[in-house]
Order: sequence, then structure tokens, then C-alpha cells
Amino acid sequence: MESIHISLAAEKITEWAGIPITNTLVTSWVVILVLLILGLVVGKNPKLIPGKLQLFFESIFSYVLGLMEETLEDKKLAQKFFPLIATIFLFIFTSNLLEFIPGVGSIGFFHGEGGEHTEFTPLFRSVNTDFNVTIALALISFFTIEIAGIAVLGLLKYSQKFVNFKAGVMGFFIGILELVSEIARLISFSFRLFGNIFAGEVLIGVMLFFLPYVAPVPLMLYEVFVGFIQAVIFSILTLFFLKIAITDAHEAH
Amino acid sequence: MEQIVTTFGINSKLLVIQVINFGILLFLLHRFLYRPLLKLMNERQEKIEQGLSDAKNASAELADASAKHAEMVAQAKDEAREIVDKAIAASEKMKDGILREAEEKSREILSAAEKQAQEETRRVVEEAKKEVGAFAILAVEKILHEKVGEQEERHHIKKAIHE
Repeated sequence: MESIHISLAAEKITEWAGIPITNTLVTSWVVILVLLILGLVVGKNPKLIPGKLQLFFESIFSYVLGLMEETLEDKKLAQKFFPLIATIFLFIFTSNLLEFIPGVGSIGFFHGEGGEHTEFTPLFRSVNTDFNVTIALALISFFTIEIAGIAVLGLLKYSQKFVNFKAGVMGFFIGILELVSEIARLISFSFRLFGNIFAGEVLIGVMLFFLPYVAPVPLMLYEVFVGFIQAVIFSILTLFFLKIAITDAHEAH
Repeated sequence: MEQIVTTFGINSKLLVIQVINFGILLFLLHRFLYRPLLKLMNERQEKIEQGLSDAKNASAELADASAKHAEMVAQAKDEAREIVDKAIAASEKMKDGILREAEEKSREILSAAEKQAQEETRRVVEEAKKEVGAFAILAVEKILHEKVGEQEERHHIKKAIHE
């Protein structure tokens, strides 16, 4: 009986110019391609009286934009940051959905010397089960938030949020705490997404190993839900932190 | 730390590639999906607002027009009644005039006729008188003549006898 193979790191398929081409990288290309095709189809010739697909995207966009306007309390800022939030959501959600397409994780090839040492490498692997992807997303979110904070408040005012001598010892320590939590966001962002999706993947893998028929279905449904929720959480948290970053600490009190 | 990096397969090149990939996706989606779609949504919203305000204006105008219409109808009714009243009054007046005129005329005609009749009768009577007089004279003459004749005869006879 073969054992369940679980690898935290994405498997390397081949190497090109010193860059390891991992299966998650391949899958992320697929995700990007799918989104681009969808985007081109919908955005190429949008009609005033929308079709079903256009309506679907429009309703998502108007909901997200409304939420952003409500949160940021600024229409211009909301429109400025909308592409980022929307892309984060679309990218994560599509990646998490793609995980359930048959073939992802099962199409691949064997390598090694045969026998005991033969290893199976799937060609595709859910994008967010690669820590590189989630940390990349976290970094994008992190830098966007910091840059937005500096751009809106100015460097001096923004840095005073973290290095604060005016409000006494207590204020200083609160500033340091803010700084730590700012950095910790990087970790929480990346590990939350990675952990949730990876755990779901492993759970389904184990289920498939022991009870291959029917039993994984409710789990997969649940994982679709988790995939959606994680996409929402990632984008909404980015939005909230953005709001915190661009809000003047003194005005807020 | 080293172990974490190898366990999770963290690779700086891959990380950078993922960031770049995401950036490209963001750019292209922004260019080809978000911008046209949001623009269209804005346009549609404007169009809907325009349409709503147009509809509002139109209904206000309609109310205005119907009010004006009712007013005009009422005015026209009033005018029509006035005209009818005037016409009735005028016709009444005319009727009176015509009647009076007719009465006068008839009276005139009547009096003229009466006068004529009187004249006629007077003339007839006069004529009759004349004629009757003539007849009477004639008759008297005749009678006298006859009597005179007899007497003359007698006279003549007497005369003759006497002689």
C-alpha cells in the first residue's frame, strides 16, 4: 500500500535559467490565464444592458466598490485601491476553486529510480499551498498599505504612529507594539491563507486515500467555502488595514 | 530559519516571480476588465439618473399640462356659456323687435284697410245716394208724366166735351 505523500513545499518540475519551475508556478500561470481570458471576454465589449457573465462581474464589483467606499469613506481612494482588492480576491478565489478541477494534483509524472524510491510529482498544485505565493501576496498587501499610509498622511505623520515620543512612555510603547503588529501582519496574512488551503488539501487527500468515493464530496464543498472565505478575508483585511494606515491616529481619537 | 525556508520551499526567485505575475495580472485586469466595466457602470448610473430625472420632469410637465388643459376646458366652457347667453339675449331682443314691428305693421295694415273700407263704403253710399236720387226723379217724372198725361187727356177730353 502506497503512503500518502505530503510535501509542504511545492514540487519542482524542472529548472529554467536557475529558476525552479514548480507545479504551483505552473498552476498560477493557469490561474492568471483563466482570469485574463475571463477579463478580456467580459471587459472587451461591455454592454450597457449586461449579459449574464457581465452582470455577475458587475454585481461583484459594485458590491466590493460599495464596501470600499463605506470603509475608506472616500470615493476617490476607493476607486484607486479597487483594482488591488479586486485582483487579490479574484486571484485567491480562482486559485482556490481551481484546486477542485480534476487533474489538479493527479496529473503528473513519476521520477526517481523506480521501486521504493519512485516519487510522484503532480503537474498542478493548488497555488495557495505554496508559501511563496502567499508570502508574495502578503508582501504586496503589506507594501501597498505602508505606501498608502505614507502617501496619504506623509512620511513624518505616518512614522509617528510607530515611533511616538510625544505621548509619553505609554505612547511610545504603544507605537512599538503597532510596529510589531504591522510586521506580524505579514506572517499572519501569509500563514492564514497557506494554512487553510494546505490543510484543506491534506484533509481531502487523506479522505481520498481512505474513503475515495462520496465521502470527500461534503469536504470538498466545505473547502470551496473555505477558499471563498479566505479570499474574502485576505482582501477585506487588506482593506481594513489600509483604512487604519491612512487614518490619522490623532484624528481618530 | 534555514529549515523553515527549505521545508516551505521558500525561494526568493519564485517569490519575486509571483509578485511580478500578480503585478502583471493586476495591470492587465485593471486595463481590460476593471476600467471598462467601472466606466460602463458609471455611465449606466448616470444614464439611469438622467432617465429618472427626465421621467420626473416629464410627469411634472404632464401634471402641469393636464392642469392647464383643465383650466382651458373650464375657460372654454365659461366662454361658451357666455356666448350662448349672449346669443339667447340677442335673439330674445331680436324676437321682441320683430314682434313689435310685425304688430305695428299689422296695425298699420289694419288701419289702412279700415280707412280704405270706410272710404269705399262712403263712396258706395254716395254713389248709391246719387243713383237712388236719379231713380227717384226718374220715377217721379214718370209717374208725374203718366198722371199729367191722364189729367191732360181728361182735360183734353173735358175740353173737347166742353167745346
